[in-house]
Amino acid sequence: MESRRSEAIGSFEDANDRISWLSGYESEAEVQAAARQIVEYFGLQSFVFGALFRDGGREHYRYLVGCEPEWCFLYNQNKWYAIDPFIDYALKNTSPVLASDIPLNTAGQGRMMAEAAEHGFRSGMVVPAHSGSVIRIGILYLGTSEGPERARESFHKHRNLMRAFALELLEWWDAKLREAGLEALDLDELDVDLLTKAQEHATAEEAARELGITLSRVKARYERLTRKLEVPNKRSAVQKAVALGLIRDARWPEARP
Amino acid sequence: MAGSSTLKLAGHALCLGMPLLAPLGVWLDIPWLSPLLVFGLFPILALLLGEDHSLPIAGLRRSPMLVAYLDFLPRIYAVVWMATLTWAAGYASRMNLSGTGLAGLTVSVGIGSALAICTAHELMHRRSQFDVLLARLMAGLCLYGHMVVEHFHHHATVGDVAAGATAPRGMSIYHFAPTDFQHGLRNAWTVESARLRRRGAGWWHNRVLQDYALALGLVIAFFVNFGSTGLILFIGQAVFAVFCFEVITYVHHYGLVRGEGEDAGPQHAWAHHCWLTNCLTFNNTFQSDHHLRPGTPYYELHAMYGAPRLPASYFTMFCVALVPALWRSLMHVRLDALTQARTNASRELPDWLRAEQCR
Repeated sequence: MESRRSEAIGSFEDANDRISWLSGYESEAEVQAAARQIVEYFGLQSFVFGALFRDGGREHYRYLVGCEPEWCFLYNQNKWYAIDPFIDYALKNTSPVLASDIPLNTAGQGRMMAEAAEHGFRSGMVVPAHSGSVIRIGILYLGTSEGPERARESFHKHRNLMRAFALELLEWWDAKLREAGLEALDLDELDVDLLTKAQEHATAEEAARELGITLSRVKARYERLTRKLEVPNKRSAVQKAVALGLIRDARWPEARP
Repeated sequence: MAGSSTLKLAGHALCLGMPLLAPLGVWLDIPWLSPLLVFGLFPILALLLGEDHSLPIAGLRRSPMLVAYLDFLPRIYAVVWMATLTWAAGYASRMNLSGTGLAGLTVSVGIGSALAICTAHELMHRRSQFDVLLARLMAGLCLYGHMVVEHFHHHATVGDVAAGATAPRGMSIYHFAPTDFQHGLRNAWTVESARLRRRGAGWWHNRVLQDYALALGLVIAFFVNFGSTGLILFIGQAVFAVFCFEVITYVHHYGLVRGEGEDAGPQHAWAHHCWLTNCLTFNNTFQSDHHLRPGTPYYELHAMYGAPRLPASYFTMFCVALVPALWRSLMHVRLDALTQARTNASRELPDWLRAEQCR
């Protein structure tokens, strides 16, 4: 598999494999390199994957960039995320769409598209990816510096694969943000195990015996957890952990690759 | 030498040689080579090589190559051991071995299997599902299906005589081994039943049942492939390995009973930080540290302040435990001194009873 990773993608099966490998990568750089190859297979040159996620009460954007860095700089400097018509589209729709099919309503949007054309997004498409976890929504922008015919051809040929690509990127990032969330709260995998046990209604004693730690340690950990999550009790700690995406919602079955 | 951390990391690879002593014995025509070395030469060698004064290398995790080597070592051990076990069963079934020859080969393989239980112990504490499954397969090959579930229970109940694993003062190994096996099975069953009830899962999710079913499958597989001689070897090595494991559990915890309301601590496991033992058993002598930090990989464990010291290395103490009168005469002095130290105002152990001389 290692050797295949660096080769150019030659077939649909190959592209499908590369997309399914995304969730296994550790670093952002690895995902970026793999994503570039997938985008090349689509016959395109540039991509940006934006994720809108919640952090407490506020919402933020994070980006995975596979285009000229200057474009991202301009986008941020001009605060184009506030008027970006594609975000508006992605929030309310699930289907991938050609960028040229989205109407531009303001002069600001026109300027933004003119700059985009200068930086590798002369034509392209937008693929929304919706999630129920930490990230609220993901948007995959794919682009080429060639004309709209090129984008249209690629879009019709690879539309479904593009959707899979966007969803895998979203899940990879979701997992990353979960790790970052654990780190920010200074929690570790043992805390996650304890929260999962509490979710299963295990008593402190049962949790101790199944996880191989002493009862006093279990109790001390639960106290620490409620303090760190700023909740009054174990039950609310579980609810908050689910809301923050730190543990899976037990009502749904576990996804298996 | 025993202070070099690098040498110690390299030394861990020595464990791979242990299962290979069985085929070496056959090749040299010395069927008892492995037990002769392990119980005859190793105690002397352990004494000569001295105690483990090495410390975990700081920032080890920043070196992916080194971490990969250390992480892979128990897995490689598993492969080498399984290959030896299969080879030995095949060899025993092909050759018309005498009773002594077969016994020698069984014990030789069994020594590798005892170490395999130790390796499985390292693997079962890991997060990776692959490693946990490998540990369960290894436990199955030693016909020790409740080991994985029971061991977590043991961590929660260190020093509790009623929960097993800790022999009360005066109990001999011959009484302890069968009793502890029963205790373990009962504990594991209770833990699994509670877990399944809570989850509303069916009986087939019971890991104790699954692992014993696997063990049964392996028994049948060995019988079909290697006949009755292969089966005798297979069951013999498993019984020997489990007995060795019980002896080591006995040596680890003998008489160190946890008081009412007392937290588990380094004082609840005997230690002797022998360099050779640590290399061969994935730092098993740092048991006190492992009790308190069960998820920590073996190469990051170290000696703990406050652990009481065994008179000699595991290899020697293993043999001593088999002679109850000798065992009692050596250990009861220590238990008395421990009780005495606990009543002192400082609660400090006398120097001769402290295991952490390397710190």
